[in-house]
This record gives sequence, C-alpha cells and structure tokens, in this order.
Amino acid sequence: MRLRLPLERSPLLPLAPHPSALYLTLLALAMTLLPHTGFQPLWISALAYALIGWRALVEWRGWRLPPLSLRLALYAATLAGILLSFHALHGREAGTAFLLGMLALKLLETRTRRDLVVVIFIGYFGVITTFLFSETLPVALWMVAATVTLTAALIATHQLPTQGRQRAGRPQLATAGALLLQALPLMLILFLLFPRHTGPLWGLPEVRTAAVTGLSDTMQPGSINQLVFSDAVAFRADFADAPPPAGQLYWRGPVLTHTDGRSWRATPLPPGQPPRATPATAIGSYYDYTVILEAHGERWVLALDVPLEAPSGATLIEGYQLISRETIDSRSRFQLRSAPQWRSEPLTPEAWLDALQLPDGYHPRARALANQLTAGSDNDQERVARVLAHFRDQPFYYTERPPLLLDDPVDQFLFEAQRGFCEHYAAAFTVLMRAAGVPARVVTGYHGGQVNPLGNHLTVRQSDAHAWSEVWLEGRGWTRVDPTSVIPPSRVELSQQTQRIREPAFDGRTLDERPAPHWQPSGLDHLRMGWDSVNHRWNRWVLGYSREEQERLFGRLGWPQLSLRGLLLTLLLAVGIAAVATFALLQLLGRERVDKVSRPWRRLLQRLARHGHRPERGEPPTRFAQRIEALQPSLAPQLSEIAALYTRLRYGRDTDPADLSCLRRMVRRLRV
Amino acid sequence: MGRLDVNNPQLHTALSRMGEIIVGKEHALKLALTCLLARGHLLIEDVPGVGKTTLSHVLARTLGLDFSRVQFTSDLLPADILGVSIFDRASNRFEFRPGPIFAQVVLADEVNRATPKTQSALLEAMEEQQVSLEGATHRLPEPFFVIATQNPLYQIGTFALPESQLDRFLMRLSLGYPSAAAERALLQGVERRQLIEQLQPALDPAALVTLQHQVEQIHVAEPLLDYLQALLHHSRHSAHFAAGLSPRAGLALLRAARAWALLHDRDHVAPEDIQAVLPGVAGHRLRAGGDQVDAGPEQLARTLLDEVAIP
Amino acid sequence: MFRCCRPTGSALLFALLLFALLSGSINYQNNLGFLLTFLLAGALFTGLAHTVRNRHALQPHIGDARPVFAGQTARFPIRFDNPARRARHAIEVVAGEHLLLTDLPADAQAEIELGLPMPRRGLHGSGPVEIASSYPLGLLRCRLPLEAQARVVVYPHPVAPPERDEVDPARPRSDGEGDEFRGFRRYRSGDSLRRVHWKGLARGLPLMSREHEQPREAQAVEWIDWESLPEADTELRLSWLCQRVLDAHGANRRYGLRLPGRRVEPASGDDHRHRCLTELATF
Repeated sequence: MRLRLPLERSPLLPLAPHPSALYLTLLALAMTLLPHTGFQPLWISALAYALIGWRALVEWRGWRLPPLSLRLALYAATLAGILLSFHALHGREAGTAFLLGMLALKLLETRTRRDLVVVIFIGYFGVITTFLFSETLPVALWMVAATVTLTAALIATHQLPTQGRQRAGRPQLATAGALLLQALPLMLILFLLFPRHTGPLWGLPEVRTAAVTGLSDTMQPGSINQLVFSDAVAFRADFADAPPPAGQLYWRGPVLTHTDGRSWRATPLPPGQPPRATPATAIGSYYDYTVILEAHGERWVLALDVPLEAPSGATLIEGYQLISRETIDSRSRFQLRSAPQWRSEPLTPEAWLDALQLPDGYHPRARALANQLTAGSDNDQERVARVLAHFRDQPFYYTERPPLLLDDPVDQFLFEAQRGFCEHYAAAFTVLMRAAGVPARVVTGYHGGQVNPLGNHLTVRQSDAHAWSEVWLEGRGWTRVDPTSVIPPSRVELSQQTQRIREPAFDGRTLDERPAPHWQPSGLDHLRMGWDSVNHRWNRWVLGYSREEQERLFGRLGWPQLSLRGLLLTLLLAVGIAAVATFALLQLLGRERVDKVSRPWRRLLQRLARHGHRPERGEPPTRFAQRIEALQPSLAPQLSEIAALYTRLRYGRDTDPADLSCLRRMVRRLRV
Repeated sequence: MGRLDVNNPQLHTALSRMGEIIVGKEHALKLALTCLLARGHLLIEDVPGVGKTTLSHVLARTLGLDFSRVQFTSDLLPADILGVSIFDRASNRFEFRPGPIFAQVVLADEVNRATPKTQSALLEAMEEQQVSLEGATHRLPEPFFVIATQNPLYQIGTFALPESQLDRFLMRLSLGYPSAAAERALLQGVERRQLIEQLQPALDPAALVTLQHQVEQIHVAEPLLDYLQALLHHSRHSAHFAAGLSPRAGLALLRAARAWALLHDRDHVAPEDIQAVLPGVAGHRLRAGGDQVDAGPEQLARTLLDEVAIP
Repeated sequence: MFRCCRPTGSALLFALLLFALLSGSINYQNNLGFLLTFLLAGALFTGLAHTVRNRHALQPHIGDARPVFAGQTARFPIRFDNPARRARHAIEVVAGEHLLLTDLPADAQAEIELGLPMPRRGLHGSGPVEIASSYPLGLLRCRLPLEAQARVVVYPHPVAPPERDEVDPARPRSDGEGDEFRGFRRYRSGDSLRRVHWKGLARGLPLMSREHEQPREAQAVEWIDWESLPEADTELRLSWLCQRVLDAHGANRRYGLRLPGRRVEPASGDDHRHRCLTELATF
C-alpha cells in the first residue's frame, strides 16, 4: 500500500536559490562549529572548516564541485578517522564528530534548494549537539546567533534569486530574527509545561570528563606540594533569608576517618543504597537554602555544617554526609536545611573505636607529644585547647608551598617542617587528639564563600576547599575544630592570588567571632560579581529547571498534584491559546490602520470588488463612482453621493459627526 | 472658527463669459484662472495662432484688470519692459516712465526670443513683485499676473528658458488646436477682437485680491498632505523619473490645488484637485527617466498619478 | 484562510528533525536542547503565520491575452496590487505545469505576464491559474485559485497556400459592390439585402441585385474565399486562409473573407484583420 501524504511538491525546487542562501548557510555552520573546536579532535574541526572554506570558494569563483569519486574517498577517510579516534560511531563524542564530519562533507554535493534545506536542517542538529558539551551562557548566546543565521539561510533558500543581491543577507537575518522572536512565547510555554517525567530514552549519558575539584575521598597531606588553585565555581548557595556569618560557613564534604599513617580516607560506600544514619539534633535556629552544585563526577553533596535531613535524591549517612543517589555529572540542585549548633547521638562502640584508630608504627613522636601536652588534664575540652595552643605558640607557618613530606607526614610536619596548609593541620591535629584519647576525624569540604550582593547568593570556588577536624566531646558530641585558624596572620604566607579571598580568615580572632567578610569591591569585582550573578540565575532558572521545579510551578499556580494527563492537557491548552494569540497579532499588526471615516468606504469597496469593480491606483473616489455609475447605473445608486460625502469627511474641515453617521447609513443601505 | 464662504458666483460668471469667446478650452481657462488666483504666473507653450493673446486679453478684460502685451524680440532690452527714468527739463529731475510690465495682466509673448538678460529682468520682477531701477523701488500693481508664451518649435536664435527659470512659473500649459466644433464656431463667429471690446468685467481687482486671500484659507487635511507627500516621494524614487519634484514644486502644487478647490466652491482640497492641477504644475518640473524618456510632460504627470495610491 | 494551505515535503523533514531534537533533549535531560527544540517548533508556527500573511489580501487580476497564432505563446497579463506596507516575496503563479515567480514591493502594483503555449487554434482559456507562496521557511504552501478565467483568441497557424487564386490579386474580381451603379445582375446568396432590386421583384421580375462599381483605385477588393482553395484538410485550409489574410493586410488592401456559412465584409485595418482571423480561429 502506498502511503499518501497531503504534501505539496514545491515547484520552487528546480530553480536556483537566492545567492546569499549558501553563504548564510556556510556562515551559520562555521558559527556552530566554533564551540565544538574545544571538544572535538582538532582534525575534525580543521576538516570541517576547510570544507566550508572550499565550498565558499567554489561558489565565489564559479568552480565545479568535486567529482563523486573524490567525495566518496573523503567520506571513507572521514569515517575511518572517526573510527580510529573513537572506536565507535555512536555515543556523545563519536556521534557528534560523525554528524559534523558528514555535515561538512555534504556541502560538497550541495547544489539545489533541496540540498541546502537538508544541510540547514542538519545544521540545527549541530547546534543542539553543542549543548551536550557546554551549557554556559556565552555558548548558548553564540548558538542563538547561529540559529538565527541558519534560519536566515532557510529564508534565503526560499527567496527569488533576483532579490537584493547588494544587501547580502541582511534582510534575511532581520526576518529570521523577527520570526524567532515571535516564536518565543510558544517556546517558553512548551519549555515550562512540557512533561519532564521520562528519564533517558536510550543508554545513559557518558560520564563527563573529570571535573576539577578541590575535594576527594582520600587525603594525603604532604604528597602534593602545591595547592591546586582553581577559580572554578564549586557550587552556589541561595539562602531564603540572610546567609550565615562567615564563621559558620563550613561546607561539609567527605568525612575521613581511616588513616594508614600517610593518607586519610572515607569509609567506603557499600554498593547501592547506603545505610541511613541518625541525623544530629539542632540547637536553636537552622537555615533553609538551595545548593546548586557544579558537576564533579562524585556522589557527595556539599552542605552547610551540619545538614539536618536528606534532600530528595540523596541520603544522609554516617558522619552527617549527604550522598546523592547518582554521581553528579551535571549541575544539580538540592534543597537543604542545616543547623550551625547541634547535638549528636551517643557514639556506638564501633564508631568510638574507628575515631580513635591510629596505624601501628607511625607517628611515634606525635604520640609522645600528645601525651606530653595533655598530661594532667582530665577534660577533653581542655585537651583540645592545649593542642590548639601548641599550634598557636610554636612557630607553625601556613603556606601554600609546603615541603614534600613522604615518610611520616604527621611527625615530619609537627617536628621538622612546621609549614603546611589546612590538610597538614587537620591531619596532625586529628592524630594528636586520637593519641590523647579523644575521638577525632578529618572533615573535608569548603570554607567561606563570596556573597554576591547582586544575586543575594554565595559563590563557593574550588580555591575555597578546606579541611578541618571534628572531635567528640562528652555532652556535645561531634564538635568542629579548625586548627588552621589558630595560626596568627604574621605566620601566613599567601600568594598574591589567594590573598584577597583568604585574608579575612586569618585576622587573629577565633572564627566564630568574625563578622561576615566584607571588602571594598573594585570595578572589576563588580563586573565579576555581576557575571557570577547572571551565571547563577542562568544555572538556576534555565539549566536547573527540572521536574521538581515544574511541580513547584504548578503548586504555585494552584494545582500541586497534576497528573501527566492534566499536564498534557494544560500544555495543549496553553500552546493553543499562545498560537492563536500569536497568529492573530501577526495578522493584525500587518494590517493597515483604517480610520473611522475610511472604514465604511472600504466596506463598500469590498462589496463592489465582488462584482469585479475596483478603483484604479490613483483614482479618486468621486471619479471611481462616476465610472461605475456610467458602467452599470443599476449596480449602486447613490454611489456618487456617497463618494462625495466620503471625500468631504476625509479631506474637509470641521467634520460633522452627523455626516459620518449619514455616510455609514448610506453605505449600509446600499444594496450592491 | 467661521466657515469659509466659498460660494463665489462671480467666478463662474467670469468663466462662462470667457468660455463664450474662447470656445472648447474650459479646462485651460480654469487652469489659467487657478494660476491667477494662486498668485502664480503662467507659461503657455504652443505654436502661434492658437489663441494665447486672446486668452490673456479675455482674462484681463473679464476680471476687470488692465492689460499690456510685450512682444519679445532679440533686440528687446530690460528697460523696454521695466521702464526708464527720463530727465524732465521742466521739473529738472528724473522722472520714471513705467514700462509695459506695470499692468495687472502682462502678456510676455515669445519670451524665448529675447536674450537671457532681458528674460531674467522680467522673471525677477515677477518673483519680487517690484522693479528696482537706479536705486528706486517701484511696486508692481496688485494683482499682478504674467502670462509668458514660448514657441516650442525649434527656432534659430532663441533662448529657451532654463529649467531654473521654468520653476518660477506656477504652471505651464499648452492650449492645443481647437476641436472641430470649436474651430467651426470660431470660423463662423464674429471677429474675436470685437467680442473682447464688448466684454463686461465680472470682477474688479479688489474682489480678485479678496479671492486670492481666500485661497490661502482653503483647508488641507492630513490625509491630503499624505497624498501630496506620497506623490513627491514617488517622483523622487521611481525609476520612471530622472528628477523628482522639489519642495518648491510641492508648495506650488498645494497652492494651485487650493485655488482649484476654490474655483469649484469647496472649502477644502480633495485629491482630485491635486490631480487636476498636477499636469500643469508638475509637468514641466519632472524629468523622464527609464522607459519613459519619450513621454511628454502630460504623459509623465499621468504616469505619476497612476502609480501613487490615494491614502 | 487556511483552506488552501498544505505542508510541503520540507515540513515532513522538519517534523523529523524536531522529533530527533526532542528525543535527544529528553535523553540527555538537556534544557538548552529543549529550548532549541521548542524555539524551532515555535518558528514553524510563526513561519506559517508569515506564509499566510505573505499571500493574504493579494488580489491578482488576470487579463485576456493578445491574440496569437497557433504554436505561439499567449501572454496573459497578471496584475497584482499589494496594498500592504510590506513587500511580498516569492509569489508563485501556477498554471498547470507552468510556473512564474515574482516579488512584490511594498505598497505597489506589479504586472507580470504568464506565458502559456497555445498549440491549437480557437478561443482558449488560460485554464485554472492559482497563486501560491511558501515563503519564508518553505514548510507550508498557501495557494489561492484565481476566480476569473482569462481568454485568448488563437489564430490558425499561417501556411502559404499552394497556388494563388485564379484572379490576379491586383485586379480583384468584382463583386458588384461599390459606389457607381452599373446595372442589375441575378441575386447571389450573400448579396446585401439593401442591394436587392425590390421594385423589380414587385413587378414580377426574378430576384436581382443592383450592381455598383467602385472608383478605380478604391476597387482593389480582394475576397479571400474558402471555396477558391483546393480540397484539403479543414485545418490546412484555414491555415492557408490565414496566410492570405496576412498577405492582404500586409499589402494594405481591402479584403473580405468568405467561409461556408460565414462572411466578413471587405474592409481594411487592424480591427478588420482581427475580425477575419477570429472567424478563422473559431470556425
């Protein structure tokens, strides 16, 4: 059976398209390719740009397109190249490379209107593949430009070749811009209401390339001799009310309990659902906030010390850690609640033992120091204070370039180098506390964050990565102790780069006394904050729009529990209304404005047109009326009188409203 | 604001009286009268003998204006038109003897036969409504109306008016040969000169000046200005015209259209008024371009009117 | 407004593209992908509105073509009046398999000629003509059939006759019409009733016609007669006659045409030529 579609075979096709159609297409493709150059093997981009250039030259110089044999050879070579580079033709990277390669090669056989249409359509596909690699605002804006250019090319494809060669592309770009602008309401409605219920349709997306992070689930103080400094954003936090003071801005990440003498690591997660842990009890107030986490390829969720409950999609496990159900491979948002003051449940015996564990044969001098420092103290709190005093009073320095400590990093740090950064201090302090018999562990995460007054949110960067200790105190439970913070500012050696961000943390006061960080922002800072705020909103409202957000939107509209069917119905209704409104508006805007005097006259003209009588261009109404009356006297009696009245009303002075109603009446009564 | 009384029966009387003598040329007569009412001057381009002189004479006579005729020749000097100062021995001082231009209707016959110098003397006087000679300024009478004629046929030793001078005439007309019936009436009828002698004026100069003031009060509505502007714009941008209409041409069109409206007892200008005067006013100011190069002024004006829609 | 609007082949391809974009966006849960997909879906719709608007309120008028000879192309003038303040692009005029494309500037009139080959003589119509447009995106094609049908007279294809009439064309056979009275002759069918000798008939004479003679120079009347041609196919005979009419017209002679059952009185000039050739066309 043959499928019959009510399709129009456009007879335009055999004719050559508008000359700017091809150039616009090539320009749009070059624009689409630009972001890909960062993600694709160099040879793919080079090939594509070369082919685009070649095709432009062919058109410009009037050369012939390459023969079939050469094209086939090029196709085969590209295919082989992709297979060699990726060992596959599907998947995100290989698939995109394949698409771009074929798109560029297709240009070499693009002759007719139909070919161009196909290339332009594949070009749209090229635009969307960009978003698999980068979703930043600049890339998105660039892609909008590429889409407008592609659409302009599509418009030029359907224009006559004779039209306006001199103003190449500009009218088409204007039309394309208008067309897409007019499509925005529909796009918004579809975006907001389209059901987001389904998960991936086919294979799970591949893991993103390793994200830069200051955190990991192991810590080896001393093995890296230079702090990785990265200005990249780790996450942003939106507080419903004012953000907490700077002293409380400890963002909890992996908790490291086990040490082998050289490194620290977290309790390995069992596969599948990790066991739930009892949350801490808040003392006093708590904070509600949203964390928008950048992709980091791991499962932990950063939360303000300490989270009280698990958000949807994550579990609260031992050590007050939040673990996401899946690795965080794309920007994710979590609704969190944290309390700055808390009380822990009593420790289980196993946990007690874990928190006191020290490897045999390591840190002999540290153990001795611990005994010496805490001798005669019967109070854990006092032991903590004495050890902290040791760091403060002895010549310990904070530096971002510590010496390599390879054998027994803790002993070497405590007695030889006495220079290091947070990891060294946290590890040494925890060892000393454990040696003194106080349960302790290392907590890694971030400290601080930049308050953006423009967006009223906090931005935490990778350079804010931090490590501190937690000790178990009778009656209070796990208590945060940050040994790094006791180093007086005179013993802090900061590189210029870090100084601006880090300095307020080292003003000699204990952390809890400090006010929220404030500084005099320079013009550049303003720009930086403005950009950060824009990015934050972009992430939050555009990239972060998800099923949860959709549900919240409907909740706000008054339908909290909308079924899929209800959602689809709403979608259809909204799209229908927007479509009709857009259509009506477009038709109305294009129409001429008709004043009230002309309206009855136009109505009369329409009726006469049905009989084949139309005024000639430049024929005044009175003359037209005389002509019609001479031609067909019976058709419209009084036509001359009406025309004269109309002329007087339209061009005369002090028109009488009675005359206008007379004109309307005469037109109404006239039977054509 | 009082309504303008635009009912002027004297004008119609004048027209019908003129029509009795100049048979079959109602449209040209109306245009000539329009030109006079609009305080413009008239250029008639035609072969000799079609009644240019008669027309001027009849116009002056019917409107009760005094008339003088200057035959332009190659040896005509400016002073022959404007007048001279002659030393009067009796009073022992110079006395100005006004030239033929000091009349209310002046027929400047065959202006293209005079030298450019003489031509420009006439045109300057037309423009300024006064004559300046030897430091003294002499005002020309009011109303003042010049009808210049030009022979379009190629003639040796003539100086056709340059375009810039053509612009000073509100209208350019050509009378054309009379129709067969009109010609027969002409051949059968009494001697024209005799008829003119018997002609009774229908108006006096004062009434004419009042009418000229009325012309300025004729209403022009916004849509009409739109139309006028559309015409000017089209003349400047269409490929059919090498040179478009100047702003001065636009003003002239409006002035003539107002006078035409008054002549038709209307207190406002309608598009048909513009259309009626456009060939006369704009024909000589349009330059043909593109495929219209062979078209005459009339045809050009027609093209313009046919291509611009009335808003 | 939508009755004659249909999606084109490109629209099907575009729908496939949208579907692919949508499934990709869903699979990768990519919000920018969703945005692009929905933007293009919106553009599909606004494109539709533009297409409808591009064709809207264009009232073309098709006029009769000037007569042509069989085998020539008849040119039908089509006048467009674009009253809108925007230009119209890529307006197609479709007549059967013949296609014409034009742009219309804003607020202007344009006239184009639709050339249709006319292989056979006769009175022909232009056939159904419609205007269509798929501008700007080519995804939708809106058509509008023209109500009026234009007509054209197609003269027979002129073919030189095998031999001339037995009468020398320079001295055409007298047919008894003219200004000077010569005498009476027997009535022949086709003679004007005004020339019948009614008085004689009343007196019982046979039906007779008055014979007149034209002055010498005005007498050059040529009768182009169907009967004077050798037996042949009707079409061929008409072609011969056509050529004779053209010759006579070209030589600026007075001529008349006689066909079985039809007759055109002698005259000259363009109108007369048209009248004769139309008789041949519609015979």
